[in-house]
Amino acid sequence: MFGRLAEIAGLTALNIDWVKDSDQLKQKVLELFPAIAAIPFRIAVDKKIISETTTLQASSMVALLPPFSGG
Amino acid sequence: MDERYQRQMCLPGMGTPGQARLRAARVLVIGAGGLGCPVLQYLTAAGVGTLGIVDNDQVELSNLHRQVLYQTVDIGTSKAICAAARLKAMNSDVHLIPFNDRITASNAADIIAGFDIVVDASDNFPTRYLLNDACYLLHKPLVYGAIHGFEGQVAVWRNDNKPALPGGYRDLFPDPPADGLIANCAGNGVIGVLAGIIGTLQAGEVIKIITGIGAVLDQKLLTYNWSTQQFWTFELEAGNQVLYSRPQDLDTLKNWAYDDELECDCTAELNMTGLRQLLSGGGVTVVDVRLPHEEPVITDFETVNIPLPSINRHSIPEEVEACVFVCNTGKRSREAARIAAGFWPGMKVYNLKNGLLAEDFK
Repeated sequence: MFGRLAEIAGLTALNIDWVKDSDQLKQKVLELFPAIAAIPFRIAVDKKIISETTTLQASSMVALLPPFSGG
Repeated sequence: MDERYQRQMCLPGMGTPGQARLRAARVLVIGAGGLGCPVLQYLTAAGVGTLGIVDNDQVELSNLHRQVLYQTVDIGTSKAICAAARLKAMNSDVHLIPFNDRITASNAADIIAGFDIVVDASDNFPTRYLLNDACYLLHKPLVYGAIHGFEGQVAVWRNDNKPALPGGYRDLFPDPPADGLIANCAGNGVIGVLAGIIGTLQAGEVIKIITGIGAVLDQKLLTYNWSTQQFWTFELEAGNQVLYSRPQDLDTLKNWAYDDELECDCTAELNMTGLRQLLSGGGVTVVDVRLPHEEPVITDFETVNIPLPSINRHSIPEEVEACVFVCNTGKRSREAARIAAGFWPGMKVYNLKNGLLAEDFK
């Protein structure tokens, strides 16, 4: 997890038991950290930013990317 | 001239032609703060011919731990003018154009048009979306950088006449975050060297675009975490355009309500119940922005049909005081609402959130 999401969750990475796809994963992360629902973010699966629901493998690495504004 | 740049001119791919390209280049840097300082310093040192600097801020004491162009004696002076003077002293080959002004929807196109490449070193979301839209419409490459706490992001949007490809800030983050949810450096804190690292990465991308050396961060988002010393590069998928609102031409851009865009979701959106309540009070015009043949047909209240592409300065009578924009999903109507809010600041503008299809519309 990156930026504001990592700050809210209090961690940068966690292991999640295998879920079928990126939608289920998002659901699971929102259950664990409900406060991140207010932050827009993109999901990357194995370093590819996805626009549609994507099937996950047990070894998939998923990144949650919020925007940053500082400069 | 050659001796100053000899150590970079002897690199493969640079030589006299590469240096000549740098000298001929015109680069505009938006923001002369934490990111802008290293961008400007390295581009000046490298011999970029013309540098524009846009910033209306003044140097403050709390800037100095990261904005390394400025000295204690500069506190209270204009950043753009102070930076230009410092950079001129660094390298008098460089033509420096300070704009002691804030970049806005109304001046962006005129300022950007005079440059080849734009660097987003700004510190707020409205400016980031504005630069994205203006550079997209003007086909100018945009080198994006942003920081948050210990982390930074860098990306390059080419904007090179290939609108079918994704690769803009709005493609990456279609939904502007609501105001205040993601803090800036003033509110959140930032480590000085992080701004230096991210700004230097941006300057590096600019030099690559100008000289053609190496691989530009095109269609990619680079993230860096100073505390863990990790770089990650994420690829944007081609061909999966997310639907979103953006100004479609420069005239619309000039009137786009960038500062309101971040608040639009919570202040001026209605559901069908809200719309009916508003209608019962009277004095409200409902504008249907769908094409004339689209279903469902609205029969239980009066509407004016102005399809989204036809929404412009002349399409709504000036005497209208309140206007609700509707479409099937709430997306086109939101874009129409933003256009209208820009053209008629005195008019109360609403969007039917989620559109006609999501509601118990009959």
